[in-house]
Amino acid sequence: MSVIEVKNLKRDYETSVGIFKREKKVVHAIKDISFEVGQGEIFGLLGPNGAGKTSTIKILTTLLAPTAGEARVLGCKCFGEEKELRKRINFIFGGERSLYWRLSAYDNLSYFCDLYQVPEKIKKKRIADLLDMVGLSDRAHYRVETFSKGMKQRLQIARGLVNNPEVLFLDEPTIGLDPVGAKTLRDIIKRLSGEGKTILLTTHYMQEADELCDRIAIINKGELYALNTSEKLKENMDSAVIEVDLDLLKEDTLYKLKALENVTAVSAASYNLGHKLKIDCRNPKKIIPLVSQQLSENQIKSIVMREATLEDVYLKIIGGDCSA
Amino acid sequence: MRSNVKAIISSCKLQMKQSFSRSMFKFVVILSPIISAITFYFIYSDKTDETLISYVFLGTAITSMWSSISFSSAGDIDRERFMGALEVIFSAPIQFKIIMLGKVMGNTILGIASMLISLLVVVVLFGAKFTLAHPVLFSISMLLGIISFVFIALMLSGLLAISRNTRILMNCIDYPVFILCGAYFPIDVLPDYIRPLAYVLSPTYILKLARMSISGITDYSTFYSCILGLLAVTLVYLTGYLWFYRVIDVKARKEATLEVI
Amino acid sequence: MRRFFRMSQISFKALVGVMDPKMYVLYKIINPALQMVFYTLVVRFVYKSQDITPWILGNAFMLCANNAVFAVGRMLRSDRDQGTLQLIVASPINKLYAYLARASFNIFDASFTVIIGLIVGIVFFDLDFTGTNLPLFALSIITAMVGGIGIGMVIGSIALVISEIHLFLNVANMVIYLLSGASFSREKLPAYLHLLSELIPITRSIEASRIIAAKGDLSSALQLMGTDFAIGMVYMLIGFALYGYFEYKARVDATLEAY
Repeated sequence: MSVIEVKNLKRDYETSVGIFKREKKVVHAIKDISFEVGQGEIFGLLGPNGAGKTSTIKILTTLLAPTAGEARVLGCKCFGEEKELRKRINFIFGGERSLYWRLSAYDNLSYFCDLYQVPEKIKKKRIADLLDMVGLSDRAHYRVETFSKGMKQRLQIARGLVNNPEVLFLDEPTIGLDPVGAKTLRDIIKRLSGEGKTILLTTHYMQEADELCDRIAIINKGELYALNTSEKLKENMDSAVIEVDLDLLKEDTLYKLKALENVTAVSAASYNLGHKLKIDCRNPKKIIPLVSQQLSENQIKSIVMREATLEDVYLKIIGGDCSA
Repeated sequence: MRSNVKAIISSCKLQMKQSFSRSMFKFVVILSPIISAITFYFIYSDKTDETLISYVFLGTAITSMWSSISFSSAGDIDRERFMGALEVIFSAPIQFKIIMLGKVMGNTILGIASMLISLLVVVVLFGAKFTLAHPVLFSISMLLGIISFVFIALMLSGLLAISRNTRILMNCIDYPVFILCGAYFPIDVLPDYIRPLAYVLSPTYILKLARMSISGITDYSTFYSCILGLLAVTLVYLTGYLWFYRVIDVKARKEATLEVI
Repeated sequence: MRRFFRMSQISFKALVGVMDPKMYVLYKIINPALQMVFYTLVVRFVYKSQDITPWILGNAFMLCANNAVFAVGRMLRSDRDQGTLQLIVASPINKLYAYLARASFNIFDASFTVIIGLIVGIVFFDLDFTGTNLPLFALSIITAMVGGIGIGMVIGSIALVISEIHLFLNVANMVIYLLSGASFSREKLPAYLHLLSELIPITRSIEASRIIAAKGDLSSALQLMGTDFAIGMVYMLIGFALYGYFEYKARVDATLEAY
C-alpha cells in the first residue's frame, strides 16, 4: 500500500483584484496532480516557483484543504481525518523560521514534544538523541537567536522529528545553506530514509534531487509533467550533450550544426576567452567526428561528451517556460 | 485529556518565557501598573482608604489585567505567524484552540502579577489600609473574574485572527473599555443610553463585585445578580471562543484567506 | 526659510505616510478623543461639584505629550533604522537647522490633537470659551507644544541609544503625565517630584491656559508662557546636544549603536 496517495488533486485560490470594482479572480495553483509514494521512499517534487509544490505539501501536511480530488497519507484523508494523521507525520520548511528564537534549543524541542504528545519517559532521551544527531548538543541551552543559519536549520530538522514521524515532508530544506551544511543535511535525510521513513521533499537544486531521491516528479503550472526515477528520466531524454570550446564562432556555424542528423538543439554562449557550444543530440559517438569536421576552421580548444543530467531533463521539460 | 493538560501547561510556560523577553510586555506587566497607580493615587489622594482601594487599586489592577490580555491576545497569533511558528503549532496533533488556551493562561498569570503590583503600590507605598468586608466572596469574585478574562482573551484572539479590521480597532479599544466598565469611577456617571453596553463586558461585573465585597454588601440580591451576569457573559465569551476557533480551523484551510496559515 | 518649511513637511509626511486614512483617524482623532473622555470622567467623579475646567484643559494639553514624545522619538529612531540618519549626518547642511526643521512640523500636528481634546471638552463637558482671549489661548497651546516637542527631542535622542525604545517612550510618556499636573494639583506631589515637575515645560503653559480661561491676570499668564517657551527651547538645545554627542560617540568608538 502506498504511504502517500494523491489522486486528481486540485486547489484553487480566490483573490480579489481592484480597489473600487472588486473582481473575484480564481487562481488554479494545482490543476490536476496524481502520484503515489511508497513506504521508505524519498520522493522529490521539482518545479519552478509557483508550480504548486508548496500548496501540495500544505495539503498533505493538513494545513490546507483540497478544492477537489483526494489526498491521503498513511490511509488518512488529509482534510477530515487530520486528528489521526497529525501524530504520525511532520514537516520542515526551509529557512530559519518556525522556531521560537527567544527560547533555547532544548526548550523549543521540549515544547514541540508536548504538542506532539510525546510521553515524558521517551521525551528526555529523544531530545538528547535529536540534538546529538543534528550536532547541537553543546548548544542545547543557548537561545536560538544566537544560532547561525545552519544551526537553526538543523534545529528545524530536530523539531520535525520530535514525534518520530512515519512520513516527513521537507520544503526546500537546504535553501541558503553553505555546501558543508547542505551536505550534513543530506546525510541526515539519507539516514532517516534508511530507518524506513517516507520522505517527500521539494528542492531547486537538481544535484541534490538526483543524489537523494528515489523518484522524482516534475510539476509546472499545477500539473504533473514527468514522474520517474532520475535514471529513467535521463534515459527517456534519449539524449546526450556535447560541449565544445572554441576560439572563433562564425555566423553560419550554429545553422550548420543544427542541420546535422540526430542533433536536437544547439546553443552558444560567449565568454571573454572564446565561445562555448552546447549540442543536444542522440547517438553522440557518431556525431562527434561530424561536429569536429564542421568546426575545423573554428579553432577547437576542447570537445567533451557527457550524459544528460537531471538539470538537462528539467530544463527540457520546463523549457524556457518559467513565466509562472 | 492528559496530553491536553500537558500541552496547556507547556504552552503556558512557553508563553511566559516568551512574553517576558519582550520589553513591551515587561512594561505592561510591571511598570505600567506602578506608574498608573501612583498617578491615580494623587488624583484620589483626598479620599478615604476605602475609595483608594476601590478605585486606585482595583482600577489599576483591572486595567493592567485588561491591557496585558488585550495586548497579547491582539498580537499573539500575528507574532506566531511572523515567526513562522503558526503553521507548526496549527498542524500539531494538539488542537490549536487548546494551545492558545495555554498561551492565554500564561498571559493571565502575568496579568495577576501586575494586579498584585498595583496592590503593593497602594498599600506599601501609600499606606492605604486594605480591609475586606467579605474576604471569601472577594476571592470568589476575583477567581471568576480571572476565568472570565481568560475567555474574553481567547474570544478576542480568535476574532482577531479572522478579521484584519478588528486588529486595527484593537489598538484603540483600551479607553472605551476603561470608560465602560467603570474602572476608575462608578458607571452611574455614564449617560443612560451608554450604560447597557457596560454590561456586555465582564470587567464591569468584576469591579462591582469586588467593590461590594470590599465595602460590605448591603443588598445580597444585587451581589448575586452580578455573579449571574458575570457567568452569563463568560459563557458568551466561551461560546464565541469555541465558535471562532472552529471557523479558523475549517475556513483557514478551505479558503486560505484567513491568513492563519 | 522655504527650505526649513519643506524639510519639516517632508519629515512629517514620512511619519504619516505609512498610515492609511483609517489608521490616521483612529490614532490622531478617535483615540485622543477617547483618552480625553476617560480622564474627564475621572476628574468629574473625583472633584464632584467643583469646576473641572482646569483639569479638562490640563488633559487636553497633555494629549500632545503622547504625540510629541512618540512622534519625535520615532522620527529620530526610524532615521536610524532606515539608515537615513547617516545621510543627514554626512550632509553639509547645518545640523541644528535640519534638526529643528524636522521637529517643527510636529508642533502643528500636536496642536491639532489639543484642539480635538478641547472640542471634546466643549461638546461633552460644557467647556466654555465665551469671553476668553482666544489669540492668547492659542498662544498658550503653541508654547506648550514647543515644550512638548522639546521633551520629545530629549527623549527621542536618548531613545537613539536605547534598544528597548517602546518601553522607554511609554514610561516617559506616563511619567510626564504624572508630573504635568493635568488631573490633580502639582502641590500634592512630594517635594522632589514637585521640583522635577517644575523642570518640565508644558506645566506652565497649562497653568497659563487655566488663567486665561478663568479670565484671570493675563500678564502673569504671559509670563508663565514666556518661561515655558524658554524652557522648551532649552530642551530642544539639550536634545540637539545629546543627539550630536551620541552621533559623535558612535563614530569615534563605534560602540553605541546610534547608526
